[in-house]
Amino acid sequence: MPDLPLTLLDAADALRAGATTSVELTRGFLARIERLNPTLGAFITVTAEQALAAAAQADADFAAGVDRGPLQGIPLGVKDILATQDAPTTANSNVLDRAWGAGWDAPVVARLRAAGGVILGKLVLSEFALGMPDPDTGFPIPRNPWDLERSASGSSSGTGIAVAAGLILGGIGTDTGGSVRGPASFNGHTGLKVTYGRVPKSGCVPLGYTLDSIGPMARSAADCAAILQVIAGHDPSDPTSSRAPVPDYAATLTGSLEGLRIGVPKAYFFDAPELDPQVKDAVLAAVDRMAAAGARVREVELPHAALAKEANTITMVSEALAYHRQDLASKWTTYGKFTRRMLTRGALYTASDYVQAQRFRSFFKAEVARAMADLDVLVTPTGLTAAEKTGEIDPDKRLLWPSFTGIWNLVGLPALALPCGFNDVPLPLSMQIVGKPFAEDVLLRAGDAYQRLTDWHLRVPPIAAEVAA
Amino acid sequence: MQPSQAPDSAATVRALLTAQGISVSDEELDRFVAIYPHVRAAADALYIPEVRYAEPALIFSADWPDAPPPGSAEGVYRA
Repeated sequence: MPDLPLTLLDAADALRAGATTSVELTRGFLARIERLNPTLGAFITVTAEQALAAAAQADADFAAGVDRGPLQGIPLGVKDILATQDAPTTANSNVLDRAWGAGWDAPVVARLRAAGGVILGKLVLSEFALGMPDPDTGFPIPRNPWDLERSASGSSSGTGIAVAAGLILGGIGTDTGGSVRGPASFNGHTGLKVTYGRVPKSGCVPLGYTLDSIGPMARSAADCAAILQVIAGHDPSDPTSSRAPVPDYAATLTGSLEGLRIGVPKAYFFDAPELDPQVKDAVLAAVDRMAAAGARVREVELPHAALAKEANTITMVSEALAYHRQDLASKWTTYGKFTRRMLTRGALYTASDYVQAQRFRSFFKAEVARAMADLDVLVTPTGLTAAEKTGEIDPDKRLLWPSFTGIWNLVGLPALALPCGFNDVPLPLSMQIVGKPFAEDVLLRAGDAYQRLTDWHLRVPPIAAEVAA
Repeated sequence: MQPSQAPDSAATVRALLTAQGISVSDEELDRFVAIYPHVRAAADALYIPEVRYAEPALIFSADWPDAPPPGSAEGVYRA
């Protein structure tokens, strides 16, 4: 994709150097969307007119010497589960009342706009951030740009596709059990699940109230840092949003891995029979690469990780069922078939199961804190495999498989997914770097430093390269 | 008998769904019945000795919110 900048920060530099304008960028990305979106199914709504107006404003600001930071004039997208004043919010569902969120921006969206971001539209997701693509619902079917027959993962599938295929320079996803990290993994870019409370989540249709987070998705860790800088911080409309100070993330990107203390939990995360050996080898090779650059690595144990996955599931589907129960009772067939099956799992648990999951949560949080006492980060695979063929996914079978992402939602920790290789198909492979509470700066520094040593995150799917050629 | 060894998963699942007001097709009911032993076992597995005296990670604050959620200010009575 040589005709448009590859990364958000490249575009920011080009805008400031006068090499392009926001209107030119916006027109270029809108043209790509027009060309590729019918195939890839990334956008539900494209707000071209509003985007061009925002781009013109960004250019006028530049001309007037007003610089609101790296997002000014940058084409972005938001998952269609966040309220925006200029377009309906669907949550990819025919169930959600179209009046929900009408006429106002979620704080995250308002912050992007205030920073000069140009929002190109609203992106496909799994229905209510939980289901799977379902042709019966009438919404676009998301397709992996590396192989159209394969899953783009979920639930922030549209954001993942759009970043990977160069339809936007950065976007917003939400993550309750892996919904930022899964699409980042399958589509081959970077995604950050933030600490619970780091980013206000008001104006977002909930899934699991105590697990939900909103985070940046972009090609690189440095691009994610630029977006997080804008969206992080307390908002009075979300009482769970933290008042912890927001660091200067860009200033922490030193490029150094010297002295970073990495823990590698081999049990569960690396010995699962379902783990693809190519994923395992790529992640361990990435750890070796970081060690060669000065990181200190040792093994660590989290004996109750498998149970943490179950506790996260119980928490998520119980909280989700409370939100959806009335609609499930009255609009059962309006939900997609996968969504209603997953939501209804919440009915199979008892109230005491939910409370026990919260008791386990306290216990496991302490276990993780002990394990990380003399570490800065943990490194694991993001998922078991590279992108699967869409027709081969069985959600009931997945119930029994290990999962490496929801565990960190359970304990609220930040986790960065980033590319660390390709398999022999070739499809992107991904590792996950997990940090301590509110240590997004450490994750972004480590991720950025790794990405200065590698170019996995800069590789472009052939379908996108052909459009640019 | 452990809870996960309930003799009739189909009756249990049917009762749980009915209690929530959820009606499903026979095919969907079969799916829920098939996964129910796994679901039940996963929940039962959390009752480990280490958690016996743990406090739940539930926080309630009696503080009033600083501001209503955006879009919901209407209808809030202020003296």
